[in-house]
Amino acid sequence: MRISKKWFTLLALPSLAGFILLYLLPLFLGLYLSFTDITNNRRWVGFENYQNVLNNKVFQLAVLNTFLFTLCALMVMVITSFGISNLLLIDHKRLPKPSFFMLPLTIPAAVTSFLWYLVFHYEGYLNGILMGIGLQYNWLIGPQLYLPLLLLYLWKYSGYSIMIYYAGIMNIPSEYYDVFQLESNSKLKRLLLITWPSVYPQTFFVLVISLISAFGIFKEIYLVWKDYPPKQLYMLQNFIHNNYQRMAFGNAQTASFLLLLLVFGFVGALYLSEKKIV
Amino acid sequence: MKKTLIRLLKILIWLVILFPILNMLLFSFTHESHLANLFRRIEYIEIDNIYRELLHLKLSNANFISIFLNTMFWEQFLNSLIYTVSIVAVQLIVSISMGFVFAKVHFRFNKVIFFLYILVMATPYTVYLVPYNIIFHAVGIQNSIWCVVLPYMFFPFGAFFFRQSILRLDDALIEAALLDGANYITIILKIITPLIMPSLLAFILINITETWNLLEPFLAFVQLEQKHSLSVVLHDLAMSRPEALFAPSIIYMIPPVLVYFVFEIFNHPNKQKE
Repeated sequence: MRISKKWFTLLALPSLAGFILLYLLPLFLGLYLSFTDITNNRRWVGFENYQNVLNNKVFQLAVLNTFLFTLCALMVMVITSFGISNLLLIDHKRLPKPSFFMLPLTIPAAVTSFLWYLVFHYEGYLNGILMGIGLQYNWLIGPQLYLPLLLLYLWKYSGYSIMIYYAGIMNIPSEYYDVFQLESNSKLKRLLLITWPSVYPQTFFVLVISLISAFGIFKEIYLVWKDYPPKQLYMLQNFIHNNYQRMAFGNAQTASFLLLLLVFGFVGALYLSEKKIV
Repeated sequence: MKKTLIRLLKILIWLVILFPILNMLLFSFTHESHLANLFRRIEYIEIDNIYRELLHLKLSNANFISIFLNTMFWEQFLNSLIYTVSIVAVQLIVSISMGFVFAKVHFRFNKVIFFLYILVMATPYTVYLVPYNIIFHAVGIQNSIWCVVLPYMFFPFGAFFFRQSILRLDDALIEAALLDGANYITIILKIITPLIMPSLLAFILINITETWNLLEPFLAFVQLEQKHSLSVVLHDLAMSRPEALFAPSIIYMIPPVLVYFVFEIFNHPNKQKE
């Protein structure tokens, strides 16, 4: 659609101006700063910051943890939210609407982290039930920590994804299903061969949103364990945050940018694959 | 098969939302010192069974009374309300216009800028802390709310979201309206908005919830206690005295939950096809 310059300015300028001044400009400034020594008159130091950070064992641990968690979280989120959306569509009258799953977001993070801690604590709710069977398990140490953390992530952030998938699946034209009926009666096959491919655009959206949410889990981890969580959970944001506390701005800024690089790579890859699929 | 699935989902619902809220209510009606005692004993593994402990909690409404008497709390509550409403209102205006431009207007850098919007959306906030500090100092607005509110009003998520919604609309509709002499503002208000109403309401719901829960920018840029939002108050409590956390949290939750129910009511008549 062609549009006059006057209208284009009126409609696009607010957003573009805000975007450039408040997001792009700071980003470039931050990029420049990551090559300088922030605490010392901002003299140019080239890649020194990056070398320091990349060689830092703590940073490497943080990257590994963040990467692993994000990978698991995204896969689990896509599968679970897709599954639940389909289940919700079985009987719309008596089942909750997808927006219901947004309710966990209304509970403040401070409370959710505390209650989550109570659920999975050795003396907590889950073990309280398990004691009846004679088991008791320490959920909050070691590798099994991933399970409660993933559950927390799913519980809190499924809302967006379920809503998106629900809308997407409802929009699939029934002709696709009718044609499929001619060939096979299997509901599972229909799910995998018709429904799943038809929602690729939604999957793209869900992956981006879930990635952003996966970084949000840092808040809950921080609220439970403060500055030094268990080894498996030490995420990039913890590293960045701790460095801010210690006034090591150079480290913090550089690490932030490396995180950014990872995110950009991921989103870029998604964007390119969207072109091919959609 | 269907019956068991539905039963399973009902259990899920209980776990998802009812259990946490009931738990919160229980804790908020318990006296602080009691709760602190309980938590300390749990930490030191001195209790047998948490359910038994819960049954023995003595209820009192002391927490709520002290909140009602605390004027600072209500001032901060009002702050949260003002910030949320103003941020979401500006976001709506800015994002729908930009979403429309992304979706329907062919200009040279459309795809490139849209991609930039997505990248910025995915950027974690920590990247901006140092640059924002410098920029805000240079402009002179450091230590004020504008440091928090201004960036959030222009957050790219809105433009991204509305572009996806408006993309699906028929070009012909808009062109017909143009032929009839409508200007773009009329088109957006009278034609596009009704057509994307479900998405619009979802956007408002998501944004109100997110803005209401906004925390890091406040911690970084606003030192004055009177200007704090409620989320900061809860954060401080969580760090220092978690047992006092639950009563304010109940009150904190009321606006977003109200918005949720209003959203559901609005969505009910329209619930044909998304």
